[in-house]
Amino acid sequence: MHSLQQSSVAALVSSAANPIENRKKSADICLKIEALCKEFGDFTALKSIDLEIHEGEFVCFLGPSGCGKTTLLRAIAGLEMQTRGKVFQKSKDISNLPPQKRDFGIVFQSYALFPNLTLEDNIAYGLKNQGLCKSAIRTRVQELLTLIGLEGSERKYPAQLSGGQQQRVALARALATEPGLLLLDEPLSALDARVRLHLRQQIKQLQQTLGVTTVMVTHDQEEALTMADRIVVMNHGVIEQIGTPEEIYRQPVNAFVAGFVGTMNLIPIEVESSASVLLGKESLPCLPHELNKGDQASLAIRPEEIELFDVMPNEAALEARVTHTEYLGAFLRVTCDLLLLNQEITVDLQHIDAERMIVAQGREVFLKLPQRYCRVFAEQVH
Amino acid sequence: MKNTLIHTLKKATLALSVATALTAQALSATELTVYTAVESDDLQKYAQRFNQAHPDISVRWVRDSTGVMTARLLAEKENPRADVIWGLAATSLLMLDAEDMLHPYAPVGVENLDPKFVDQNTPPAWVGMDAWVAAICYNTIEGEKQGVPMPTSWEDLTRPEYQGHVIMPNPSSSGTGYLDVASWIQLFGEEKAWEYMDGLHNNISRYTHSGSAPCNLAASGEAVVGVSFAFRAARLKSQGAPIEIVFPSEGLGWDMEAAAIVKGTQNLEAAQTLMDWIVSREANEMYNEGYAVVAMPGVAKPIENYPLDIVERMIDNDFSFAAVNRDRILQEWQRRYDGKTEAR
Amino acid sequence: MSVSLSALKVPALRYRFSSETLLKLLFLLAALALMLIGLALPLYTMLLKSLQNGAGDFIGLANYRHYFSTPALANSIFNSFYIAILTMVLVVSLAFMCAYGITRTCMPGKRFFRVLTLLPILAPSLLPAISLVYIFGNQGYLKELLGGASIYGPIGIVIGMCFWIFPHALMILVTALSNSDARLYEAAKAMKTSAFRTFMTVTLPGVRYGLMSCSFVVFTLAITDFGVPKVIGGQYNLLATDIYKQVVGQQNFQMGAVVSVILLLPAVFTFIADRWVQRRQTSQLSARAVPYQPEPSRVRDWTFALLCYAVAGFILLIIGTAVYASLIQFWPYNLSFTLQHYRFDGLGGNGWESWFNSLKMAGGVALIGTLVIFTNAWLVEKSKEFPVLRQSVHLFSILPMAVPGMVLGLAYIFFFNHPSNPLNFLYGTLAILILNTLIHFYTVCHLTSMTALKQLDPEFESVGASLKVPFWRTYTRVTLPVSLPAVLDISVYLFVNAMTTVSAVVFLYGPDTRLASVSVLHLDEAGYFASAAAMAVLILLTSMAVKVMHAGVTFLLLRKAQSWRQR
Repeated sequence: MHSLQQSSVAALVSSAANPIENRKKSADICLKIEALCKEFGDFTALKSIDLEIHEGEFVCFLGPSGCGKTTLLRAIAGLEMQTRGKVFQKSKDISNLPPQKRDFGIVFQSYALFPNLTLEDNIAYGLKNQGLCKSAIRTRVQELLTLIGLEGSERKYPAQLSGGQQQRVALARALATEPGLLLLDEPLSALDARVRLHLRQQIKQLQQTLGVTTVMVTHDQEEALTMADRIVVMNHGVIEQIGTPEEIYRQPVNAFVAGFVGTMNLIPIEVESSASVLLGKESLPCLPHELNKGDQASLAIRPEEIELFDVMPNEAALEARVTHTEYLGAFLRVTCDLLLLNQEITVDLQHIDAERMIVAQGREVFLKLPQRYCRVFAEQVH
Repeated sequence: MKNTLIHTLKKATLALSVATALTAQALSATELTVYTAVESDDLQKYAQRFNQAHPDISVRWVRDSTGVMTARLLAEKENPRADVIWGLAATSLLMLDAEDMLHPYAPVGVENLDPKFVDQNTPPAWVGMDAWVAAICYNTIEGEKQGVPMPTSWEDLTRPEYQGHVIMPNPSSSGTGYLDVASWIQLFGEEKAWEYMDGLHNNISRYTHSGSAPCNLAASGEAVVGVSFAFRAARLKSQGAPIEIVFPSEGLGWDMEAAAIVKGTQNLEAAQTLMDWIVSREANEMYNEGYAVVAMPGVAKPIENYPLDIVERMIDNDFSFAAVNRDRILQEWQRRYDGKTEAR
Repeated sequence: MSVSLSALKVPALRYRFSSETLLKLLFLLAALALMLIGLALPLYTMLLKSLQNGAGDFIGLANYRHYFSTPALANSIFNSFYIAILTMVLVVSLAFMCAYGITRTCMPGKRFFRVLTLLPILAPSLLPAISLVYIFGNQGYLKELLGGASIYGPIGIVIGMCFWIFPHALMILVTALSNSDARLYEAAKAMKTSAFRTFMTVTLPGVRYGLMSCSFVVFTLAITDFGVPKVIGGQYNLLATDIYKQVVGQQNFQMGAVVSVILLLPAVFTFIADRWVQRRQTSQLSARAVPYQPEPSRVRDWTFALLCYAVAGFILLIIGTAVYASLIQFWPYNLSFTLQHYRFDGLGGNGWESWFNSLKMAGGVALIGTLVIFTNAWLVEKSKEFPVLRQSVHLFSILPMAVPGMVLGLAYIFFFNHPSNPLNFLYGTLAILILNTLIHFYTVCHLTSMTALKQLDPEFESVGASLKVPFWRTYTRVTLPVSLPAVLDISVYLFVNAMTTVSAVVFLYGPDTRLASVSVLHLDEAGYFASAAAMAVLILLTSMAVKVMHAGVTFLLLRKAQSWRQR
């Protein structure tokens, strides 16, 4: 299941890539974070985060659990006070403001709907405080219920709804006061796979319709790749990379991003020159990099970027032995051992290619690692 | 049964409305905080009779055993909370006077009292009300059943057949208990008295907190012999308890219930009014309803279950001895008998 | 005070104080002040007092030396431990068997038995002692069962304590035994393990923390109880009764303070041990455990049923005797029925006043206490600011459990009756009784509140804040209503305990604020046993009435809230 998701990522990225290119990048800055640090006792959750988020943008914080993404979101909300650093919203310094004084709506993984209040009261919860008259509140609630496709359910209690419906109500409640910033804290994690897929589209659609600047925290790369305009990949309290989904997928800046987003072969190598590496004793051309000769580093290449032959090709190729194959529908995942240095490597074969070759366990195959895909990263320090 | 219930309910409602009325009244009246060791059955009566004469002064009772009340007054010496003491052992009042805690005052009509019942100083620091006399309660039914004969003297109580059948009050907390101990010391002499108490201690099943409890326990058959005082014994007997009241042949220890104004009271005038009433004939007649010997000569009428010659049988009590030596005697008593368990 | 200051400093520099933050700070400071005034300072004053002589001069440990060189006093330590350990062994084993019957067998009449076992909690601990006198005293109708031994002393104390401590133990053990995993039993069965071995290797290890915790609770309750030994202890001295004798009987406050400190030690020790055990107990059971469902077995079911019925019978016997005693003209010589004892002659006329006082006090504690405790727990659990301050409030909230009632009461005398204390005016008022009782029973309510609050979504407050709703509105509109069952539980717990407690308040009542439970004590002291029984029964009936009302209200509430509560 997991590998299926990962491999389909490649397809997702290419289809999502285009609209982003067209988006205007010059929009106003909605949120600016400067040198933000958060420490819990001895533990450093965030190390000097700098980030700018534009008006109307959908940004995802992506990273493994404990990377600090949720802490960063809570710091933006004022739910967690930073140890150092500043947060600006529309160029106003909100670093020291409590959540009540900031302008955002938030949705949590647990929905956090008030169980003793009806949907109407839940959605109207923030409105009542704005001094709106009763009828205005009613109209707004109806509007929102329609927006989330739950019209006619205003008298129901949260417990009478499914998880997906509850999360939509939570979204409506957060949007009711028309906040300048929408924060989503793993909003889909508690839902089952099918509902998640559906709600993913709904949220994205809603966000585009309303044009509300949105920050979503997720550990699910697929979610991030499909929904975000820009992804902020985090690890150990630092931002590893900021970029569009395609940039993150195609041009990871380091081994961590490369390994965390999608499937990536990371092969230990030694740097030979600025455009070649030594794989064992074999010299291999690669993308230009800035490492020094003799450095131990990793060669990163995605399974679908490797060319596989069942007979020796004309050009130079690496010999390998198939140890395992996995049938994944649209493609075949082949795991082989590089004979040269006893290194495992994964290759994805398109269905069509797989059909015309004999790739079975124990067979010898030949791999070509095209230079344009051979990224070289220093070994991860942390 | 049903009738009684309704009756009680009616009474409860009545009591409630009376209580409300009293509280309402209290708002307009001077309120006196009165410390007392008078038997609780009589407290309401005392206040009511006084209020018949002086409705403008309300009495707020604080009641506990003699020992506790005395200790409490001493503990509050720096910060007195009582206005008047009405019904505490003269021995205790002598002690309080020695601590300069009483406000001397000669109530109107004090000259009508037997001089023995009035403090020697002028003006007197305290005035007596009545005498309260030691007595033994003996449960006739249980005595017969368990083969425990009726005692006639203090000495009898140390005999082996009484082992485990005698109950007496703890002199530290109970005035009755202390007057017993003090009277034995005066009757037998100090050394003999402790010897006597050693013997008695062997027969005691337990020491109680209050002076009326031993008689109550004897009346309900929990003990055969209860060392207590005449008032409680007489009352229980007339209520139908199967007890015989024994006035030991050696003589009866006694103490005087007395009254005084506490130095530093904020309500001196009302306190004096109360003191005036306390020595009145009416008050003395009221004391006589429960006590055979009262402060005003010629008032006392014989009362049920008391012997006619009770005055002759009371020992010649030296109050100042009892007061001056109270601390020492109690400490010695505690050293010897407190913590009954390890003695066995 | 240094704690709160340092707690203030960090956020003060960083938060621009909004009115809400300020309000929270004020609430937290008030909570801390309550704990300082209601617990820490009185105890500190008492500790000082135990190192002073009667005149107030510092004399080091001289009082303690005197204490330990007086055999009559020091003996009580041994006696107290002896009684507490004996009670512990008896109560825990009996309660374990009954709890086993309830949770692991199909014995008939479980519900009835559980309701019955609640009764002892609703009465003051003086009640069983009074009943025991009627049953086993020298005129007791079952006196022969004792074979000549006297009920006044260790036997009576232990039986009386077993009666009123049993329900506490039963509740803990039923909870412990309910948390079972049926899969372990299925595994044992699959491996053909004998019933005995299953019991030793699965059942016992599963409840060992429950058993330990239960033992600690029973031990503490037994060593600190005052009501039972006061009535039926005879000349058998215990620490708790010694405090009373020293303070009330002889007004020897210094010695009272010394005994209090000595009594405080085992209570604090068991408290610490219990906290330790509780910490280990968490996460013992995986979330996926399947609850054990017993299968019928005639012999086993009826064996446990008979045992439980015997216990129930004993409880009924004790309570029945108290009721009977209160209605008899003059035990044992005139057995006609009367209601005259309910006029409480021994209290000097208006005996019902103390009952009204108790109602007022218990009502006040229930109302104020519930609000204060739950709100404080909410501040501790659900706010983000002032972590040090919140931690100290939490710590102080857990401490009262370690302080025996007698000790707390005496500490209050020292602290509040001090002439230079500006709070001196509280002395002898209903307010001090409410404060004392509130603090005395604070811990259980605090922990109940915390458990209830932890079950709520942790983000309610964040949502409220993001919607710019002030925190008190989210508190009153969401948190309180959702936690209402727990809140009601707390208020009834406080009411019943305020109604029945004697130990702390016996030092603190004033002339106008004598309580019903204290009256029971005084009536018994003066020998009005029937009236004492009557007052104890009155307290029991009051508690029962409140409990029934509580059950009714809870039922209605839950039915009304059914729509949103069911998942």
